Amino acid sequence: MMEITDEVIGKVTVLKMRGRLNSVSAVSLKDRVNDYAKNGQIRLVIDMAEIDFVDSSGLGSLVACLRSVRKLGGDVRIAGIQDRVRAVFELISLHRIFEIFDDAQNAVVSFQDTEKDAGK
Amino acid sequence: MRILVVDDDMEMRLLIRSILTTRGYEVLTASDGIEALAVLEKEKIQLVISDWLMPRMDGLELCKRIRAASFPWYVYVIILTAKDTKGELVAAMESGADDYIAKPFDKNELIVRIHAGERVLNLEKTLDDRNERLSKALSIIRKDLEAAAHLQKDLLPRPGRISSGFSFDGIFLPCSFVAGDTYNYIKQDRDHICFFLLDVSGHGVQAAMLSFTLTKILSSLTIPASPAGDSRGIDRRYQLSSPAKTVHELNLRFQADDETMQYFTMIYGIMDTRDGRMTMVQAGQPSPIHMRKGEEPVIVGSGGFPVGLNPNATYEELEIHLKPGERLILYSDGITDCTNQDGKEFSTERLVNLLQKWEGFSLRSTMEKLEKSLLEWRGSDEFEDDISLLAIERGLTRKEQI
Repeated sequence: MMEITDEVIGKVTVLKMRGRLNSVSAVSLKDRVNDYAKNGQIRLVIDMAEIDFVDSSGLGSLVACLRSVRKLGGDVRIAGIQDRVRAVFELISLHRIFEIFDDAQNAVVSFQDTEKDAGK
Repeated sequence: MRILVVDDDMEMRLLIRSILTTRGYEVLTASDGIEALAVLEKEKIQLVISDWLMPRMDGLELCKRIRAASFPWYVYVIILTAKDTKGELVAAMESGADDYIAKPFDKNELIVRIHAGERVLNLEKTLDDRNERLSKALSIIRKDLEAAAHLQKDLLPRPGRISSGFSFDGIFLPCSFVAGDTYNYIKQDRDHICFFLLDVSGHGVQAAMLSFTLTKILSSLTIPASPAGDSRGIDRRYQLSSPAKTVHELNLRFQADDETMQYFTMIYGIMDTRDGRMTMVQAGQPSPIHMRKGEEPVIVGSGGFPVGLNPNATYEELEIHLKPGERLILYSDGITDCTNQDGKEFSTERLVNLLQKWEGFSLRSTMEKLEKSLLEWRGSDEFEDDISLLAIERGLTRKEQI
């Protein structure tokens, strides 16, 4: 089972996931992100510090979230992934399409920087 | 509807029988629990009206025996008695009675209680019918899945030597009838063999459908050998589409839709049988293991985009040289991620160690040993993900065999 909790920090929504990201929890993640998108919340940080297993469907759902949010001009950034999960990310080159940060705080700050850059 | 009336008082038996027969019920009678059980053994009776106090076997004991007997149909029991306190009601219900009528009873009350029993029995019958339909449907689905699994296994190549001393073998264990994993090797022309192992995201029927399609497509990429070309000794290497180009085209063609997000990882390669040179693309599939002669095994490659996740993905080729006596092992993550009862993974290290340990054995017996050790690791034949492995071995040439 996977639990998702969220926290809004400024214009950024941080999703904290816990457990296994597999075919079952992939669906709830996608639904959750679709709800955020409808709500205009398109700056998302997925905090994966407490995810210890991701399967192929789970990885697919992360890319689906990224695709749908980027279409709206937003982004999904990944924070705090464990070494095991990072190895899977690298095997399928997801580190080349996701921005990955050590922790949620850095990921949140990165959005604020993007905004400042855009304002210049 | 047949009703069994159990009472040691003959007058009471006759009274109830006459009430019920005038209302169209067929009535059988017994004078105590033992007689009643004998009748129930022989006749299909679903409703019993029994007195509580009787010699030999009383109504409560009869109830208990009926529940313990587990008849193939439900037997609805109404206990009839002069006892009428809450404690007695509880005792009757606990012994397994469905209802309770206090004596002296009213004719109409008896009838409505029987009607209530009939409603329960009808509901029971509806459920039984529905269950039967469901299990019939389930057995049809099961048969279909077994047929599909058979078909899928048939698509896999047979182990064996295909040409110029190259042998192929594999392991294939779907986690639910059909798999999203598959592999194959196809002789392209006199000097080239194409090989692949792929793993469609998810598993079960949905993944297997795409896996079937891909096997058909990839296995038909063969270019028929032209006798004219062969006789002139033309190097056909450049007439084959390069692995990078093939995977690139698959990626454009099989982009995952947002809804299902179905994609696949694969190793796709072409081998030149004249010199054992292999060109491969690693599209998100675990890195192959190159078992070298007299040297440490090499994990080849470090990853790459799966097919279908990123329309802009580019693919690079890996090259290895398989020397005589060496093996290349392609496998799905179902093997290395396979957990034992303590949740510990089989791991790449274990796989490499075992392959190294069994280097001296034939390819067939290495596969058998590996399959056995996976089943032992798992502790059952039920896996969480499909398991597949393709092994390619280059035999020693005559000169090298002593």
